[in-house]
Amino acid sequence: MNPPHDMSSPRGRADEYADVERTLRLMARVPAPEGIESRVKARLGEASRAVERSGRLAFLPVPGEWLHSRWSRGFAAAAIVVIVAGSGWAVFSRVEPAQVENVMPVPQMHASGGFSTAGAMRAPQTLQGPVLSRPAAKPVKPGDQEANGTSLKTPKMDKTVQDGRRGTKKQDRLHRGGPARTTEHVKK
Amino acid sequence: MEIPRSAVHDVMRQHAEEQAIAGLVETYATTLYRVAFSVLRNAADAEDAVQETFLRVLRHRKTLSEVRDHRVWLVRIVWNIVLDRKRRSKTRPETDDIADLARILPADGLTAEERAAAAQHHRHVLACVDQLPAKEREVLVLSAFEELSSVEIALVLGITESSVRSRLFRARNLMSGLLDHSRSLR
Repeated sequence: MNPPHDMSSPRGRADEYADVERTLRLMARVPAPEGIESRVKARLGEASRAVERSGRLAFLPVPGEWLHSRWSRGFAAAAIVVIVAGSGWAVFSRVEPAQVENVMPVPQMHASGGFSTAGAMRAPQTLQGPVLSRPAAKPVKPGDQEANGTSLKTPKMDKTVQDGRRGTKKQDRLHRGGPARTTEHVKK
Repeated sequence: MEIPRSAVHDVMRQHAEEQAIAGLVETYATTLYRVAFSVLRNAADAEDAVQETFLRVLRHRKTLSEVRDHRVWLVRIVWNIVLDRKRRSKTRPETDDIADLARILPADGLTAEERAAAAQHHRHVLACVDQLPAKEREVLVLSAFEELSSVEIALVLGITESSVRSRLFRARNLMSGLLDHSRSLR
């Protein structure tokens, strides 16, 4: 068994680092697997044949490295510029300026100001009373009025009626426009 | 029918590029696999990272002639790939890592128990390495590769050589402290 290194001395540190160097050199001298050259060549041959088959596509970027080519980067930058400019123009062309109206806007009444209803509430009519129909006035001929001894003038009310006292029957009849009884008829 | 000269030229150039890439695979596939394995600690993931590295090379094959140091360039590519994969696979269980670690240990007369103990020790050291800050950890891992000098490590990480040295110094001190602390806890 190897004796432990004395790390306090420079010799111990050198031994310690020698261990590290040994490991790293072991990794650096690892033998390559047999036939690696032929396998690499075979893959290169496949790749070059693929390029020849798709010769017309040779200018296209290789997958995984497409952004490294100047052509692709230029194309991508141009596409971004076109998209941004196109969308900006689309927005600009659709925006219309606000139309100035000739009508003065009516100020809105808010609960805090303006006119109030003074607490009035509208009560809907739930019950409808009877509808009074006016009797149609009969057309009166002028001749008939004279024959009856009446005129269009409203008759003068007696003083008794005006005072609220009940008049005589004769006065009532006269007031109603009926035929007046003559004294002769009374005498009969 | 006459074949245009430009078409012939293109075919020849493509053939030359493929030959160059095949040469790079032959030369650097093993190195790249080690770099990938030192970060990912998983054989399948490391090989996948190497394949992705050479696929990227294939995509950029036209610029291959402009590269001055292919080794550093390839290590830099695989380094970025494995760091990206490591970030994405934070939640992956580490049981595979331990199994791979036991498999790669040299079998020079060790019993099964000794191999298991050694694997456990290496796992503990690597766990301490993982606790280091990212900058120090990256320099420490790359410094273990004998084929990479400090200048090349600086090129891979995109920093100066003096930064590599200072980070390495800090990493060693931190590692000693971490190992000391873990030993005192046992």
